[in-house]
Amino acid sequence: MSEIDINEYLPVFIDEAREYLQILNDKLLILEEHPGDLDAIREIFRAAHTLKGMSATMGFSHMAEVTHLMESALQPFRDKDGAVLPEELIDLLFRVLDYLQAQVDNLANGDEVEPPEEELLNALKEAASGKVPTGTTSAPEKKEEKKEEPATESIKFELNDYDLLVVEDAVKAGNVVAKIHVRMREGTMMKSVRAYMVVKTIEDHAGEVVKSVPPAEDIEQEKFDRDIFFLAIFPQGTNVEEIKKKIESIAEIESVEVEVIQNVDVLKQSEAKPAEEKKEEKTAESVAQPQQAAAKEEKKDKAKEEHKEKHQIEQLIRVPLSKLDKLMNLVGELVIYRTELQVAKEKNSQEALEGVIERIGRSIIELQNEVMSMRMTPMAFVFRRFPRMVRDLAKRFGKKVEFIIEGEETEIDRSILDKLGDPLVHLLRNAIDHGIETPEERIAKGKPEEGHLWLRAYAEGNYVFIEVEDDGRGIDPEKVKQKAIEKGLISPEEAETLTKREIYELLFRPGFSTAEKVTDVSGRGVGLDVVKAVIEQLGGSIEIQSELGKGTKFILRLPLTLAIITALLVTVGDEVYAIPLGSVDEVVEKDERMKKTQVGEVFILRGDVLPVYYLKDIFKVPTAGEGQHLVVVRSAGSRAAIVIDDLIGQQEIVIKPLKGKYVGVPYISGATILGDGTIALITDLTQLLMGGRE
Amino acid sequence: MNVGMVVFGLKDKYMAAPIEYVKEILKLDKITRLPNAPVIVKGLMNVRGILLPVVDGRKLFNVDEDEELTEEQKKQMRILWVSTGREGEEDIGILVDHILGILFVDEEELKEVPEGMEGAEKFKASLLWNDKFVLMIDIDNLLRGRGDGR
Repeated sequence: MSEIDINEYLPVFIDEAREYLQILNDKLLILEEHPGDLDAIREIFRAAHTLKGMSATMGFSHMAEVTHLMESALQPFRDKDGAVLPEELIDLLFRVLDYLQAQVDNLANGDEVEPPEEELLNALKEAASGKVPTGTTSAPEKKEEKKEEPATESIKFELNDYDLLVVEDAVKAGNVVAKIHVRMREGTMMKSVRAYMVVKTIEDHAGEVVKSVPPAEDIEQEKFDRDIFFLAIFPQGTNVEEIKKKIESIAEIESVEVEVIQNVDVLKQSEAKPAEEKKEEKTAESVAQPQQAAAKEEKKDKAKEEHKEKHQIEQLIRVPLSKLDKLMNLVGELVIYRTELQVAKEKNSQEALEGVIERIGRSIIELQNEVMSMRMTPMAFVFRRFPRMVRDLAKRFGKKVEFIIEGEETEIDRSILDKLGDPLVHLLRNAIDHGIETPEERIAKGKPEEGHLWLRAYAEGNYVFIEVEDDGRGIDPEKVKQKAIEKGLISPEEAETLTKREIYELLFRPGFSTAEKVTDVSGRGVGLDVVKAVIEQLGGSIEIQSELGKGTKFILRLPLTLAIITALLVTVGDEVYAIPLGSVDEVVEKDERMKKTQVGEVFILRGDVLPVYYLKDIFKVPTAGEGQHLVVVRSAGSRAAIVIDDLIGQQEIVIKPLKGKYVGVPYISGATILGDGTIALITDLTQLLMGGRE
Repeated sequence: MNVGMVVFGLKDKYMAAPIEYVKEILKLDKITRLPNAPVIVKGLMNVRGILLPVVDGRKLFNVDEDEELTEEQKKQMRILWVSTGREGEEDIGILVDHILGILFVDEEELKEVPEGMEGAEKFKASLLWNDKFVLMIDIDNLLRGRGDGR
């Protein structure tokens, strides 16, 4: 096969494959509701077809085979008005989708495509042959036949399973499949042009070249001697002799042989033989030099592993060309300003200098906004996978759920979006598992049988809000209180004084779970505390609203972008640290409210006892003073006072993440460069407060 | 085939970095300490808005680092900005005592790293240059992996 460097195209393939898989997913969900939706069937058919082509081009034959079978299975439904897709087939298609999804994920992780499970493949094959899948099927018998037939050595076509399937289908459909062997005259000039003319002739007769030996790329580069084989499919009733004559009439063609294929096994045979030969050779070699062969294998494995390690697939973002043009223009402006700057310097004109600086400032702000907007990605990116999940979960828990997504076009920074998946999955699962009642329970309560689950996103100011709302049973504050007392999170006296809001806060405490029975979906010990921690790490917050018997709403508030935050700059000794303002409650003087206790120092703030940390101890600052101020910080529901030397003030800073084997250090999430070129480290207090005092 | 490398000195030892991995050679500027980082990490340096982690070459290659440097010696120090250019692998700066120059040698002149040498895994070849024994460092090995995260 031609050696295209697939790595180069892999990110694009993955990106596009995901898009088509999403279409499949969406349309399958529609079909589940309306099994006769012809548009959806056609859409799926088209998506499967495109995926097949893409996969085949990339050499992922398993994926190509599966999508091809999928296409065949849908074929009969596509053309018939009023056709209804059987439920079994829809379920089967969902499984195929899962398989394809897993393969694309594999590729994205730098792994290889795995073959589908035998059972799935067989079920698909049955479906493709027009039978409704039943789940258990026997393996097709064709495979065994092929060994018994005598070998023919007429053509050395190495057809893969996918090619064979295409041919098999074409033969079945009554099309004319022909092997065309073209031999050119010795010393033919411009062989590729002749070859092209042959292909053109085939295409003029409505034929389609399925395969050529050598492959098209080699033909183009004239990497062949005199013989070319084509495997082509023509419409029913095509006169092959006529095509043969046409090809013969092309200049420099010495001979043309056309063989019409009635039985696919002939092709299979020619494929089977060389493969067997190869195998024998290999065995001989490994018997002769077993150790060497083993060593070779090992080396190969190692090389493969290394390759895997290096092979990290880059994430792609689609950017409209117009935005790129805008960027280019802005950069162009900056280039001009640089010249102006030079001129202003030579003239030594203060006025000119000020003018240029102002213009540069404006361009930079515009540039910043443009680049930021490119990082913005619609929520749909994450939201779109949920309908399927909700459907599966609802089925599993025996609930009826109507899932409503609103505002999926709302945009948010890509880096935030990537981290939102898990928390949202958790909240949605919670809502289905604990929130929405069973249909019987709902009917008994006089509610509509089908529960509703909303996933909403909208932007407001510099924040994006995401709401997960259900019309289920709601949260019972009394139950929460009881549970918290049982778990020793609060005392019964404390419980009396809590407001509803404070009670809901308890749900976010580590180790709290109201699930009465532990299911494998929710209540696995990872609970809302983790959700909250993730959201806070992103600089956001989470809130609960609930009414008993009516439903629950989780509201997530997230910053539009992570790359720029407002931070409080503080000094310890001669080092500068930045504390994200989102987690700063207030700044207080270090005075007599600091108390020494057996467990260390504490700060009494309006009756609250806060643990005290010294930034100079956390970061082992060698030159630090005694400390003059305390910054009261809040994260994941707990508060602490942090001793610092001095305050510089608050400032917008650009975050540069610090990750990796040399710079990934505890309690630091990144760094920023200040106006004078100094580096300030950004503290990660969530980590500090969650970890507790060492 | 010719192999290019940047030869540098660490106390009395000579080492070289394959030239295709060297992005730039920088003068020593202010380095911001990175608390709780591995001992070999000097800190972060601001290189035109890029935060470059700087690793102490003497510590990295176990060259005795006890002696106090004179001002004159400090002026000689350079940072070798090295990078594999691969996605997901960080760039680092290696702080070295001084740079001797850029050297091109025939591939055949490269010898294996002496077996059993301490820290042999950090090098991928050795060679004799003007009677000096030069070790060629293995930057892939140095930068591979994403570490333990935070």
